Amino acid sequence: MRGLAAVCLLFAAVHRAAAQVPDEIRVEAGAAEVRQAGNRSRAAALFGVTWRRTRERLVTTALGSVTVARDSIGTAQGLLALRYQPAHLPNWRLETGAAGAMFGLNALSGGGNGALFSRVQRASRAHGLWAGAAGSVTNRMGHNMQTSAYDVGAWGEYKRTSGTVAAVVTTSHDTDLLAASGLPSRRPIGPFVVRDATFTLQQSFSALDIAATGTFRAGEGVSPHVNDRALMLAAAFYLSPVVALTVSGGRQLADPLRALPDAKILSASVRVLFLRRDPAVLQIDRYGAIALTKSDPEGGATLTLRVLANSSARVEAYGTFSGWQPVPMHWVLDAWELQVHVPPGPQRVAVRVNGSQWRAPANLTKVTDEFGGEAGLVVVP
Amino acid sequence: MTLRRWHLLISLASLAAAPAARAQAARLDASADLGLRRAVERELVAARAIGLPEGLLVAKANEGIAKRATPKRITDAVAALGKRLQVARDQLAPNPSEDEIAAGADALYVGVPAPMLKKMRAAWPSRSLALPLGVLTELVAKGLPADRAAQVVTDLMRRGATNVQLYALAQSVQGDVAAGWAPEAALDLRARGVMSLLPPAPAASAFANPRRP
Repeated sequence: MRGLAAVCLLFAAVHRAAAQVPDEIRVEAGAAEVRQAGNRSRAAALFGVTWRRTRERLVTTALGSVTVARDSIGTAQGLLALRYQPAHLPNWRLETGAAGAMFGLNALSGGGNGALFSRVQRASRAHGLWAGAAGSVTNRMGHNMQTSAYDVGAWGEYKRTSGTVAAVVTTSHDTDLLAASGLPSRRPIGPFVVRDATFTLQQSFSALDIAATGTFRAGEGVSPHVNDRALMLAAAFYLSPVVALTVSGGRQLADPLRALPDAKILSASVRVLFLRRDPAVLQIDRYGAIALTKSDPEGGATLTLRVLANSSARVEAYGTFSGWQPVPMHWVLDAWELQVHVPPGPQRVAVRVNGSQWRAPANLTKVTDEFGGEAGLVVVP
Repeated sequence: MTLRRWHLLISLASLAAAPAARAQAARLDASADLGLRRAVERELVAARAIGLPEGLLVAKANEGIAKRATPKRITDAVAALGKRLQVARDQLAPNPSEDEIAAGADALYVGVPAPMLKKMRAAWPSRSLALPLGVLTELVAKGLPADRAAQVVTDLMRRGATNVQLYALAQSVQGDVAAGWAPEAALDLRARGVMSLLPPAPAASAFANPRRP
C-alpha cells in the first residue's frame, strides 16, 4: 500500500514538473519478477522517467530509472544521449551519450558502472545503417574492470512493420559478471570476448505494438556455455495515445558494457506520456499535431506539419494541398513530419494516426466540412 | 533539327497540353459510381450555364469521394457549394476572380452574412479580396461573431491596411486565443494595434483604392 502511495506521489510530482518544462516526459511504473541465473526469483518494483527535448537538429534524451526489491536487489540507472542531424548532411545522424548505474545485486558485489558511447547513422526514409563504439568501467568492491564494444547494424520499416539487425563485439574484464551468470571464465584474469547477433522485429496494430528481440551469442576466453541465445518479447497496449499498458518477458543475456547480469524477467507496467508544453503548441491536442507556414519568395508558402506519435505508428496528412488524398508523413528526428508547398489563399489540412479519425492540427482553427470531417484552416498570404 | 525548331515544337506541345492538364485537374475521381457521376454532372451543367468555376465543384465532389461520404451527401455538398459560389460571385461583383469567389464561398460557409461581402468589395473595389476573405473566414471559424469580425476587417481595409497586416492580425488573434484570451478581446486588442499603425482616416482615402498590381 505504501509502495502504491509512493508511486502515486511520484506520478503527481512528475506531472507537476511536466507542466513546467517545455518538452516531452514519459513515465513508466510497474512490477517485475527477476530471476538471475543460479538464483531464486525476486519481485521488484520499477520506476522510470524519460525526458526528451526536440529541437530542429538536436534531440536530447535523459533517462532515469530505479529497480527496488525487498532483499536488497536494487539498481539505479541514468542516461544522457544527444542526437544531432548536421544541416549539410540531412541523411546522417550523430549520436553520443553517457550512462551510469549503481547496483547492489546480491549475486554480485555492489558497485557502479559508467559508460560512454557514440554512433554514426545514415538514415533514409525507411531504412538506415549505423556503426558505433562504446566503452565502460565497472567497479565492484573497489576493483575497476573495463569493457569496450563495437557495433554495426541496420534497420528498416515497411508499412507498420519494422526491424533491426545488429552485430556487437564486446571485450571485457568483468569476469565477475560471467561468474554471476553461471558462466565461469577459463581465464579469470584477462579479458574475454563475446560476439552477439541481435534481431528485433516490431509490428504495430491500431492500439497494440508487439516486439521480439532475439540474441545469439558466441564467446572466447570463457566457458563453452557462453555460446547461448535469448529471446525477449514485449507488448504495449495503448489505452489512449498517451497511456499504455506494457508487458514484457524473456531472458536478457549478461551485458558487460552496462554490467547487467544474465536474468529471466517478467514485467508489467503503466506508461504515461506527458506531451510538451511549448508556448507555440499550447493547445496541443491528442496527438500533439501542429502546422507551421513559412512564406516562399516565389509565392505561396511551405506548410510543415509535425505530429508527435509513436515511431512505429502510421501517420498521414491530407487536405486541399493533396486533393484530399492521404499522404504518408515521414519520421524525422523525433516526430512525424511533412513539408509541402501550398499556394496563397485558404488551405485546409488534417492528420491522422494509425487510420483513426482525421483531426485538425492543434494550433489551427478547426472547421467542419459538409461530410462531417474536421480540418484545420490556414490562410497562406 | 535546329535548336530553335525544337524550342518551337516544345512550345506548341506545351500549348496543346495546357487545356488537357486543366481538364485533368477538374476531372471527377474515377472511383465515383455512375449515379454520383450523373448527379455531379447535372450540377456542373447548371454551374457552367451561369458561368461559375466548375473546378471548385469537382474538387468538392472529389473531397467527398476521398472522405468516403455517401453519394447523396456529396451531391448535396456540391449543390450547396454551387449556391454559395453564385451568391459570392454576385456579392463580389463586378469582376471577381476565381480565388475571390472561392474565398467568398468559404466565408459564407462559416456564417459570414452575404451583404458583408458586398461591403468588403466596396472597401477594396479593385484589389483582390482573397486574403481578407480568408482572414475573415478564419476569425469567424475561431468563434468570433461574424458581424463583428467582418466589421473590423472591413474597417481596417478602408483605413488602408495591407494584406500583410491583415494576415498578421489573424496570426496574432490565433496566438492570443491559444494563450487563453477570449476571441473578441483578442480581436479588439490586435485590431487597435493595426489601426494605430495606419494613417488617419482622411489621408487613408488616398490609399484605399490603389491600382491593382
